[in-house]
Amino acid sequence: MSSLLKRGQILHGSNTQTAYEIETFLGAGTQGEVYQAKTNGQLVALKCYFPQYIKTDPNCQQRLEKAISKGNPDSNFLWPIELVFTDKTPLFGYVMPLRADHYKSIVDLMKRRIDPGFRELITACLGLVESFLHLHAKGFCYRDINFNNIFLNPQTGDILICDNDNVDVNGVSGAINGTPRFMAPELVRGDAAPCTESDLFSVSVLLFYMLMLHHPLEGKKEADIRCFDQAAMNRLYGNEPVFIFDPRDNSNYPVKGLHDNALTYWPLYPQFIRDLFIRAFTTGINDVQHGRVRENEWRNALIRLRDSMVYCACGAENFYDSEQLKEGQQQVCWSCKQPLIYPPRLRIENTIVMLNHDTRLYLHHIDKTRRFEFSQAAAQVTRHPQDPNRWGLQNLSDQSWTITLTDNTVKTVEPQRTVNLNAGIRINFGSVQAEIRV
Amino acid sequence: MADIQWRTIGASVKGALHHRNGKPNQDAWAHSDSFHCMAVADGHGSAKHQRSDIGARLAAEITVKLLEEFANQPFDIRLIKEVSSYLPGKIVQGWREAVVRDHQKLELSGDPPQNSGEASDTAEQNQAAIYSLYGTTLLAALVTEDYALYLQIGDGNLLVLNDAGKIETPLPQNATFIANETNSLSQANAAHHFEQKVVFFDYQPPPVLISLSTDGYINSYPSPVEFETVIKDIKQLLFKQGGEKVQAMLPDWLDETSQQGSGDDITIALLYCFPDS
Ligand SMILES: Nc1ncnc2c1ncn2[C@@H]1O[C@H](COP(=O)(O)OP(=O)(O)OP(=O)(O)O)[C@@H](O)[C@H]1O
Ligand SMILES: [Zn+2]
Repeated sequence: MSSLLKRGQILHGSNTQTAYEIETFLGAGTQGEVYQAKTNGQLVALKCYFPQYIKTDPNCQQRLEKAISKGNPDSNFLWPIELVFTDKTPLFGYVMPLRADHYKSIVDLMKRRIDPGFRELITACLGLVESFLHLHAKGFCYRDINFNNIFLNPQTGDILICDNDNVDVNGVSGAINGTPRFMAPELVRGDAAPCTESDLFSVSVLLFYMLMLHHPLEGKKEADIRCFDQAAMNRLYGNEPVFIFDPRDNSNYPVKGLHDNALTYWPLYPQFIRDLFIRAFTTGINDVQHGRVRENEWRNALIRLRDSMVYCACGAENFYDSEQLKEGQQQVCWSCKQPLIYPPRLRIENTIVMLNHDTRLYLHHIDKTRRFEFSQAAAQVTRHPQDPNRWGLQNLSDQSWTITLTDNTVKTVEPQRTVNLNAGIRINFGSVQAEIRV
Repeated sequence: MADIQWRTIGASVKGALHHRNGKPNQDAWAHSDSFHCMAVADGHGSAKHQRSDIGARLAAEITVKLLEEFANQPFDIRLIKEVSSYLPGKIVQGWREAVVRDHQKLELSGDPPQNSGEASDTAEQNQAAIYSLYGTTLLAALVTEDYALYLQIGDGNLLVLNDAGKIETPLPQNATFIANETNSLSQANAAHHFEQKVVFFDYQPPPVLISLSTDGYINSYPSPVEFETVIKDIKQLLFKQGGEKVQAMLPDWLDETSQQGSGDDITIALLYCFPDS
């Protein structure tokens, strides 16, 4: 139920004097109401604050002005575009891009209303980490990272980050210090002001949440709490935080029946991902300055994770785990429990990329100077048109590759041509060397 | 808003069909005397869920108890939303423990469930089968001076009548569920399937009436519109005749409605806050 603005009402932008016409009410939060508005045939979202809220957060306008003048860190943020004011009343708010309906919240993920594949989920995690890297690089911290503010397109893994009006520069204590469940322990205890390091903790919690569909600190200790109160929250997230999979402390291990998602998903991921989470929630809890996993570490790990995906014959998505193989353990599919059969692989420098029927390589993989570029495919796995048992890697880039066969003959693979996926073939992409493993 | 006095009335009647087939009333409701909260539960009924009448009663009672404790906490108001997000988990946990206790009691007294002969493979499956025997939906509401809190898992109707006389549905309606089966307190990961909402009264006035009802009620009417009219009528009657009178007549109305309508059990609980003559 809306109360602040009426359909057809006009608000004016403070920078551009643009007229925004209120169309429909989208929803209310604790701070204000959000409407769909129209300007020059374009749709935007407009948030209008409750006057009473502004009294409790007097820096709100200043904070928004700072955010608007610095500009959005990247287009994943539904960033404030400009402030708006009403003509006669003292109401104010801001306009931001409108979130399309096909973006779903993490809550929808928990409720299984959407069911993205691992690839899309990891892509969403990656987008998130990169966006927070961009945010932090601009000197901002988000302060209120939690799953209500993150939306994803389950078909593509694209993400949107909403509710950017709490974003502030590093180290400023403000009205919002975050949601206890997603806050760094030192903030829950009240020992520190929000900063990049505290955001990093929240990012790790969010990533864990998205990949395991569970909170990293909610295990036996949570189950033992009969009635949840503030003291209990302070204990779980502030004073005595223990990772549910802490290898040296099982006092907070997940409880069967209550924390099943954690127990189900944790073993599905390769050891290197689990190791990173273990660090994030052990040393990362205590060593605020040096212990936390940084965006770039997550970024590399998530890309590696996406490159580790393999399909079992039963159709289930699994992850290649080189550490497990080194220990001589055979990997079995989590779904059908049959031994996993690996597709051909590409060893690129010291990483392994699984060459599934639908794998694409990007500039990130084959050009050292273009790391993290995933916008255009540079190679794709293809099936031989006459012989369905023969697979190849097609050159989609505009550079020729040089390949060395096992008998040391050297050949050139022109753009659009394909190299057979045969064991031992080495590919020179220019700045990067790779070898096909079968 | 200190002079607002909330009151609760409610009733649960056995469905006309159940009178004929001898089944117990599988609905239940509960409310608090010290806080303004109430819960309504609809046991699933069928043979697979043969103790769902007990499951529904336990669900309603445990929920009211947890809501009382919740309302009794001196929270920082900013944390209400956050802390309330643990309620589904705690309700599920409390309900499961109560179910297991009841199950053990019945086992000891030599009253095993009928045709639960299919031996389960694992202890977990066993556990899940026990919960399922008691399977139920749940609706609950709590009002304080500062906010209203709404909770739901599975079908049933949570309607709010605002001070402008309009019906609102604060929780999303018919969340998608596969195969026409309702969500249940007994399902795996039940806590994730709750809908919940906290509405603060800072910027909008409290409602005048909150209605929780099992689906036997709405299914007795050709469309939701008629059902909403009934809720508005009850509000008028409460206003004119007072709570005691309406409370006294409510079971008869529900009986009548079930006979003319769905034939199902019907339960309704109402929290309202206008002068009760
Ligand atoms: N850019 C947007 N496009 C579409 N809908 C939006 C947009 N921003 C917010 N909304 C919707 O408007 C409603 C209110 O959002 P808002 O961010 O103010 O509050 P909230 O995040 O729900 O609560 P809180 O104030 O506690 O953070 C929500 O339903 C939200 O999904
Ligand atoms: Zn399989």
